[in-house]
Amino acid sequence: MDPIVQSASLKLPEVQEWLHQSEPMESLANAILSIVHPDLHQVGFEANQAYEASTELDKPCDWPSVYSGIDIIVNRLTPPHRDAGSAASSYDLLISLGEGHADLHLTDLGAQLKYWPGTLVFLTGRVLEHAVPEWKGGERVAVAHYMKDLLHDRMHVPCPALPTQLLWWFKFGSGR
Amino acid sequence: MTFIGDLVAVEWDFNRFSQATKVGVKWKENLEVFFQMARLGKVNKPATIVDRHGKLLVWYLPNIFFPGRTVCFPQADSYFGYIHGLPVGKIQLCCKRPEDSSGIPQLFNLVSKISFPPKRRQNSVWEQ
Repeated sequence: MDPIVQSASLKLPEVQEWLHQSEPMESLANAILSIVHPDLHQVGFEANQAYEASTELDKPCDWPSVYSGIDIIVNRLTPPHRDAGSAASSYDLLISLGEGHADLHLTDLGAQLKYWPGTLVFLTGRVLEHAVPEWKGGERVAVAHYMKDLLHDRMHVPCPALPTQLLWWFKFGSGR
Repeated sequence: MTFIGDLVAVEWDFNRFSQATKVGVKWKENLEVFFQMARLGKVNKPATIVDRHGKLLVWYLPNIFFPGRTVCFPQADSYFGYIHGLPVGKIQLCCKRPEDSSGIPQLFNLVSKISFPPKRRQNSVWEQ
């Protein structure tokens, strides 16, 4: 079996610095995930810990997210796609930054979500096709987070089921 | 108790739908033949989308970061010029000077450094 290796881009000092500067944003995103999908937050944390413990990293870095992969998309349109690397019941996290106006299209749902800067979307990106077909009025940055299912599998971390409305009510409801 | 924002339900079962959208499944192009496809339209308020069994498929949380903490871009050419055809800007955290937190110039730099060659903006399409 091939060894698991760190992304080559993580060795760049600029990337490490960016990760460092992104820490407050990532901490907030982690905290929100711990509410919307506590089990996914837990397995993401465990998988990253297991990976760090099992692998001798070329360039150790303070990875700020419970997600195992981050893509930065700058001034790009996004054609309709599904995220192949995630588990079906895993949420990808999309954070819209920059300025301008765009819509996030969830084509399987016939939905167009306003993708204002500062917006967070947790979606089952492996299953639901999504796209950003156009944007207007400024620079656009999207930070996409993924949990690589193969990494979790290699770390012997189980894939949690999707949370349900009922579970969420039991957990956080007032009991009335 | 009210749920977070609007709660929107689709008519299909998530597990069955996910089987149909697996890579290599030929009938995924004809999903509407097998599933009652939703037409949810425009969504601009906090919302969750669930399947017919109440599984939470999407959490839509608009404007979580207030404007002062999102990335703000000035006129790019007046500050940093262009790097590989990408307009570059500055990050503005808590509405302070860009020198205090220069994430965005770095961001553009590192994106141009680690990703595919940039294309002209009007043709820019991100592909996985």
